[in-house]
Amino acid sequence: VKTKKQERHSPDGKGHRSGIVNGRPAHGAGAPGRIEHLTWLSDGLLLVAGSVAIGGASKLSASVILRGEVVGAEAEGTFYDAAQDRPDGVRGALFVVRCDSGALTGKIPEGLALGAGRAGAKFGPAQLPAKLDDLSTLLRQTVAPLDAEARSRVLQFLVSATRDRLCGSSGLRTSRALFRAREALRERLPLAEIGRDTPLAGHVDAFAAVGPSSFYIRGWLASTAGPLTRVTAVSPEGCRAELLDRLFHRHRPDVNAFFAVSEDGGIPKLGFGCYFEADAPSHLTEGWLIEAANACGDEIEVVVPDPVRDLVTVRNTLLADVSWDPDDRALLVDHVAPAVKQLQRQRGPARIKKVAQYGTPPPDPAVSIIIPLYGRIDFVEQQMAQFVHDAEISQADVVYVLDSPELSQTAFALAPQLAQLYRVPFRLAGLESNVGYSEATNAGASLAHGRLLLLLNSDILPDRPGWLGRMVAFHDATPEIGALGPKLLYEDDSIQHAGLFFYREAQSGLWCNNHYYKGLHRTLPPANVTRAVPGVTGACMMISLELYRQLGGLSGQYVQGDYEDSDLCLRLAEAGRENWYLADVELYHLEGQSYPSQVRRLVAGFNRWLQDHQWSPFIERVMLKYSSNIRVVEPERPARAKHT
Amino acid sequence: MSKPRVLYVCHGHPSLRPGGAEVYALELYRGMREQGEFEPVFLAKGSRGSGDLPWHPGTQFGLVDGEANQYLLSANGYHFDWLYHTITDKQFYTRDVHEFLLAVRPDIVHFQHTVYLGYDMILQVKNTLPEVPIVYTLHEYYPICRQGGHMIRTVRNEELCERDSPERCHECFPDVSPQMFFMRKRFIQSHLSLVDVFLAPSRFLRERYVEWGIPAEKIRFEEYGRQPVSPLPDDGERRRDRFGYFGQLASFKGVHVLLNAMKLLAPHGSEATATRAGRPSGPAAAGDSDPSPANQPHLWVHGANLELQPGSYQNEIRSHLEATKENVTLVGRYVPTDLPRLMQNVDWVVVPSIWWENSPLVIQEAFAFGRPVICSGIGAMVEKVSDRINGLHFRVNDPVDLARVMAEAANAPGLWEQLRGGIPPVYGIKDHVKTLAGVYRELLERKLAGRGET
Repeated sequence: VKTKKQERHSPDGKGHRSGIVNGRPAHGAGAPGRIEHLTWLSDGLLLVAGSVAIGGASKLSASVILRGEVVGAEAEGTFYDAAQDRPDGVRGALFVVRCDSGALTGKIPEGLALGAGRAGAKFGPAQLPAKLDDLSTLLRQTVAPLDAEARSRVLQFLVSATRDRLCGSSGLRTSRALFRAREALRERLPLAEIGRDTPLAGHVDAFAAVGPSSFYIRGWLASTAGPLTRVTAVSPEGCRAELLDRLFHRHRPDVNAFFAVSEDGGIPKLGFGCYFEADAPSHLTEGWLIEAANACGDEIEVVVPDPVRDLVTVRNTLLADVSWDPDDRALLVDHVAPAVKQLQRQRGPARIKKVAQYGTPPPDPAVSIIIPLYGRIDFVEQQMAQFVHDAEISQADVVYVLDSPELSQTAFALAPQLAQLYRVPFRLAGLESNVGYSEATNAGASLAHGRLLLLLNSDILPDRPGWLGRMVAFHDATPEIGALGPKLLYEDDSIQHAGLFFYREAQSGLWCNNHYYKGLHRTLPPANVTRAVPGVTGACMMISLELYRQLGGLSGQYVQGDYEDSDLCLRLAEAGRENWYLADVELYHLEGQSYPSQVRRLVAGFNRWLQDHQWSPFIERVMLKYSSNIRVVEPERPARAKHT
Repeated sequence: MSKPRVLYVCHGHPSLRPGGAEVYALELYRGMREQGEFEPVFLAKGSRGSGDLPWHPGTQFGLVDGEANQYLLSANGYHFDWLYHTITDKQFYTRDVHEFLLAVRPDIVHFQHTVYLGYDMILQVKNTLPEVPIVYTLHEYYPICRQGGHMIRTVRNEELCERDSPERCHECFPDVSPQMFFMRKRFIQSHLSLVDVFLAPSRFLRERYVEWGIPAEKIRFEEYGRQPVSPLPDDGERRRDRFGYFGQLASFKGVHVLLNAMKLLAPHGSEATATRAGRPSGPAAAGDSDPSPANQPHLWVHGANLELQPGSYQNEIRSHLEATKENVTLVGRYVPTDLPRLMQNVDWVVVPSIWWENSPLVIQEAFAFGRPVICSGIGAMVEKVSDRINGLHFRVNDPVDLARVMAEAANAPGLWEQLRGGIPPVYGIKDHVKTLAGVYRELLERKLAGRGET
């Protein structure tokens, strides 16, 4: 691979084994050649063009003299013209010089050393230009006249040699410089036109930045003249990613209908979706392109819409592409799931910006109540209006975790007022950025003072005082307990949760979460039996802090407050623990008030698949163990017949 | 030893807003002062002008005509939330109310109303003065019903509401989720749970609150007490066909029902239809009368605030008034001191409310002046007015039935005198004050006993 790469940088096609052209010793009389153009690409990033005898793709040690100061650097170079018959081997070359410091950016170098020892060369004022050029002048006078292939190689060299500087604080400036270079040098293909007679057409419908160098693209390509031979994504910085082998092809009946294409094997799949990682990060909004070619030699470029960068919008775009058609499963497994995983990684881990204590903290709390707040903070007042009548809550360590940084000011203004009126001590922790339910909860748990954790949603209101003590007593009296959950009710006194179980959805074949007796009346006799269950909801879940920490808390791979709880329960079961449902503690759960149901469906679908993907065989074993619990839900018709 | 101090908290002051509950609360304050056992202090929500301006910079408090024991509390700079009935910036309670309570140090706090002030004020009393007993008078159904406390539904042709539930309330207010209504009830009940004794001016209203969740043993029935009035001179034997309406010109008061009935009774209108419609169920006397134009029943409407009603209702009332020009006179706004003169001019007082009512002051007023009452046959009205003993009932929201009853009232000889004779004595403010003083005494004794135990 290395040889190949080096060959690409040698226009004569022969390659240079060492990567460094034979040059005259640096300590000889005068330098072998001279530097003709200098320009700063961004902070500490210098582009140099000259006629020299050294070069190649390898990294060279380097130094630049700026304002009399020697600044350490490393350099990477490429020859851009063919070897001439000059005995000293001097050829036109470009070097990217990466200085160790950006402090003297913009100054005119007084000296430049490329390479060390015999293989290096030094350039003094006599061999350096007296002024800086701008980037377009430098390119115009050196590489712009080259043929398309050579210019393309130069672009690849530039992006590869500046890759490190695309990250960090000067990334955006580097991106802009690379974009100017790309626009000056790239070979333009005909723009895609959508007409019935065009042999090759295409369109990008959605484009999302999943991470700094990861992207998701969705669209269609229709070639009526032979199969596609190339599909390349080109970043504004000129970084190229070959997608043809990666594309997930899917049906686009509308495109098929327009082009009236068909194949012997049936209807071709003209739509595509693709998650890909580029070699370098991209910061710019405009300038993405897709280049495509087919077997007949038609070539087009397709303008790509500006990438969506808002994490939630990106996530919803990704999830909206998942169809639950088994034929499309590869899109989920190979594209959407890795992209979502990357997204989830982007958000975490939570950084706590500020923790405020209101009221006098209880001296030795047994329980830490962790309540994440997202989007709405009015629930705090509602919970306070109930907690005020329950002395046990004032003995607990109540921690609200604000996962909506935009509400920080409001929340930190409201909290002391509520504390003063209701006199229930609590803490409020503000997170630096929105990280999602699981990370926010884990952040809250990291602040816990109690030996037990109670994970609690903010939209839960207790039915009556005394519930916390009963949960603690039951927890402590139950050996090998994992998670403990109470009965949760809707506002109309129907059951929201009486323990959690899994069932296999007929259509998708996936294991799904469900709650026992959901929607039935709170007094239903079987719901009033305290018992071991496959899992309990995280809306109100007690677990020992030590155990929670051992298992690493809630998993961050699920999206937005769903399935993290069942995942934790499965891990508890795997560790030999038993999860319990406590029937005689009742709280109201006013769930899902502000969450758009469309998004909720998308998110739940993904989480369900992910859980199934990871746990399917184990869930089957768990459900076998608890099958007697299911029988209560389903009528026992055959069994009854046998008994009578 | 100084007298125990009782603080009355009211949502308004009659000098700023002469509503029935405000007038009653101030009368109670004065009556209590006169009785002499307690030292009353009156605190009413009230701001300068219409912009909720404070009385002085840097304080929310102001005086009423320089009186020592009457205060106005402005909520300048604060926002009142109409769903929960709470002031959103809690400093109103933890600073302003707190400081006031510490300064005045009441021995009893008696809430007359918490609208504009918020239910949280009850919690603040408990916070600042943990041992002080709290009394709360339930004037209407605000805690139960978001719809102005009237329990009239916004759906199904404004049907009367029997009970709240998150789902039913959400039907009335589609923009507020059932969960929000659930939270609203829990929030209000949280604060009301700190009250020691509730007073309900009608048994009907008390029952509604017991159904809603206030423990029965905490709510006592206690009628409003009234200042005594001088009896009106007897105006001899004559036809009793003069009707009076006293109250706001608002939809829930049923003015439109009454005006519709007057249309049916109009000389050139469909009076014949009304009597025909009334005959099958009405008493024989109704049909025997002579419907000559000279003997047409007439209605005097005393009341105002039509301009505060929704435009559609204003138009409806105006068009009714236009259509009944011949037998209806719009008198307009009145003050309590006008009442003897106005009552003298009418024989019957009509109370056509389409809501349950609490304990309508207008019924007490009518009775005090010896006027039988014709009222809707529902709720607290039937509790206060006995059909064919001291008044007449008609089917709520039914102008035809009201027209039938009014025709009978105007024409049946001797009926007015008979019903006038059945009017019970009006519960006086002195007796009311005596009863309340007993409640306060009992609460203070209970508090002392409780302290002795611990």
